[in-house]
Amino acid sequence: MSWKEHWKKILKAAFCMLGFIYLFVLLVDPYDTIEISLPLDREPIVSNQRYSYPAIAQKSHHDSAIIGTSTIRLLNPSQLNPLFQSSFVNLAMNSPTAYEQLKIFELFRRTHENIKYVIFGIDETWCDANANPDKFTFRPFPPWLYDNSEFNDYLYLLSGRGLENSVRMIEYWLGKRKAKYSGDGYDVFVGDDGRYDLNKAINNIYGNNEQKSILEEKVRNNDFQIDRNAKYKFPVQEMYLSKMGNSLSDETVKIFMFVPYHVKNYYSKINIFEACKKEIVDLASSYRNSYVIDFMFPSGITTEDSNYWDVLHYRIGIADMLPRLIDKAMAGEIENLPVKLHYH
Amino acid sequence: MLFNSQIFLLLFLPFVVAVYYVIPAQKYRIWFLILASLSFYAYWDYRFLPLLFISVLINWCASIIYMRSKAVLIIYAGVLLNLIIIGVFKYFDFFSSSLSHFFDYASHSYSIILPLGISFFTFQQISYLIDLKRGQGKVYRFDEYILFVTFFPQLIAGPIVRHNEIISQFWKSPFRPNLHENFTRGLVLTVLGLAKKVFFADEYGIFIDEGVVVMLAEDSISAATAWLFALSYTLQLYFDFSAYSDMAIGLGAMFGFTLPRNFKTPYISRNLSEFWKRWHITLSRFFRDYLYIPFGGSWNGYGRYLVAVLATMTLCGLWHGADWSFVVWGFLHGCGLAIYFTWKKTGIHLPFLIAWLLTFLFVVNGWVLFRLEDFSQAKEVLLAMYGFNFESALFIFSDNTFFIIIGLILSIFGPNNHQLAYKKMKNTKFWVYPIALLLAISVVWVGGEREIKFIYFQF
Repeated sequence: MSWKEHWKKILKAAFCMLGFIYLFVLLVDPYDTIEISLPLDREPIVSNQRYSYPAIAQKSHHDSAIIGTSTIRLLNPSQLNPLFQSSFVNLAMNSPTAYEQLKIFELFRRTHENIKYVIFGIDETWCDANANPDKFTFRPFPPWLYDNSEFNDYLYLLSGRGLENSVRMIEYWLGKRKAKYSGDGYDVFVGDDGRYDLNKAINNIYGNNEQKSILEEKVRNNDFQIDRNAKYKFPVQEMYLSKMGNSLSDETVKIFMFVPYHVKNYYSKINIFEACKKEIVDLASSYRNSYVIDFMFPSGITTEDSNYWDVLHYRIGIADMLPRLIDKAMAGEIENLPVKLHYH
Repeated sequence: MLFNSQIFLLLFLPFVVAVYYVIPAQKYRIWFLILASLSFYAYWDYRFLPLLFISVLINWCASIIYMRSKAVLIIYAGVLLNLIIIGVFKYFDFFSSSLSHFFDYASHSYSIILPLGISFFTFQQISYLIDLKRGQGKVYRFDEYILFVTFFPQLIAGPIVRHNEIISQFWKSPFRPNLHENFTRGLVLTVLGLAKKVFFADEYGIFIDEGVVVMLAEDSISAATAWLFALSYTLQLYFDFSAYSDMAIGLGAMFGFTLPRNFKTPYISRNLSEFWKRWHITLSRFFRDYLYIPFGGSWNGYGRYLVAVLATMTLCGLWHGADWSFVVWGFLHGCGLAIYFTWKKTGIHLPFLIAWLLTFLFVVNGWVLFRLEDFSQAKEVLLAMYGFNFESALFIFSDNTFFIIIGLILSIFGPNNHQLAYKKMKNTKFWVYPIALLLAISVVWVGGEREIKFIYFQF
């Protein structure tokens, strides 16, 4: 073979292989995002929710959504649905930034009309005083799956990740792999509750028993006083949260829910969280049909170590209580309950 | 744009190569390459294009004025100006914070953005000016000169090319005997470099980045963790930078130009002197010719040699980055070279295996300083490497033990890409499909959100 033939054959063969791989990925369409793919049943097979949830947000026939971080991921749509006569999808992700929450919300809003409820999980992400919050985490985020254009999906699908996930989708079709998430986005991501270990949890919460005693001592001494005059700004609310609220119609019920952090976490930034609550109430008051519900204060839930895996994540039993408590709070029936209603 | 990106591999490169070969005359080909190279640079950050252009223009004007006036001051001023440019953009914050630390005053960080490739294009031009003064250079046409500095395969991270080894090639038409063989070998070297970057360097980098965070958060780092970290970074750095050099040389060959080699299986070296003849060769020869020899080299007594080698290698360390850990790394290599020089005088030859092992360990230990952010982290890891914590390694590293062993075998005993492309490869069917498959899979792999820069871009 001459050298001229040699490089031509290399390029021709590479071109054919590239075309074959591309066609394979397009037909499989692992993120369920393009029109020309094979008409087969697709389920989320990618563990990174940033890749899996756009299809759930876009294609689901739900009329209500939950937006937030892992602190609200355990809110179970199947428990909310009968209480609110609606169909919820839980789009909360692990450690999303405020910007990433905005993106998944926008995708849901753009593809759904007559949205009935949106529950915003309010936690540290929205009580961040940083003027320039990060847009992304170290986890890959595919902006092309969140925009209006299908054209760029064709470009970005030609990737190592696209090829890997196409193979995963084939495995799913062959019954050799299970879907990562259900169609309503709900997923129990915390450990198996049957194997819960209180000592380990205390270690996660306090670091060690000494720290636990120090905190209890401070609580006894009433060291955690709220400074009502403390001034904080939360630019992230103006940048992203209000954008979400503004885009919803008056008919949509907007629920801003302060998540039930363990008190250790609440106390560590007590003034910031309390100032944050004021700001959220101000924001909510600018909308019709909005509620500010608060689980973030010392209560029967948040002071009990055995309710938690760590300072951020409560156990499944607590998660199962939340829908009813939200419902009660919205009805104003909060007496003796571990929940507050700050605004309606 | 990155060499390892689809926009480069599927759009920019095919377009530039195709147009280059369609253009009928070499002088137009040169201008087309200039335009392509400036576009390539502007794609990173168009704000630095004026800096690059002004730097080229000033140096070119200096060469004309010097050749007309023979005033040495012009050369000194030109070199000084280059040093000022690199000093401001690369070292200003470093010197300012170091001074404030020594004299105990509050410093202000100006957060000056480092223009890509500044260390490389500045040094190429400094070497040109010095060569002029030495009578080893001439004044070039502006198109020749600007392409010498900006030719896109070598603009961002070398090899550091000398004017007298590249500019004359610009005028050679690519349509000459061996065109197709040169093109094929260049293409294959580019593909092998790309695959090395994508499937080795980046894969090491992914687990190292995660592993370093976890490792440094540990109360006590086990020796196994520290060693696996040091070895995997040793491999990442070599695969990453040599992959870039392979691609640069391969791309140059696709246009009919021969760029100098930058790596020759450095981890097989039996002493540090050999290591620097195999590692980043074009930088080594720059420091040898423009610093080490002018400082006195090894021909003017032992004392002078020590000063020359320590000063050269310390500056070599500083070239790599505006941080004291790079300075110390360079100084340590200077010490290592001095020890080898002294040892050589005894006439005692160490057995190959011992000599290789000592050299390799010295290099691996040095890379720890290179990778970690500050001395305290480096000290912690280095102490752990020789400590008595015999717990098992972090799973992030131990999971990759086999991959690390494969990398070590390939980097020490395997043929390097240059040997594969220029010596082993024949124009037979046997080579077609593996190379085509590597190219296709690599192009797919670099798509999507995966955009991993070459390590040496930061230098």
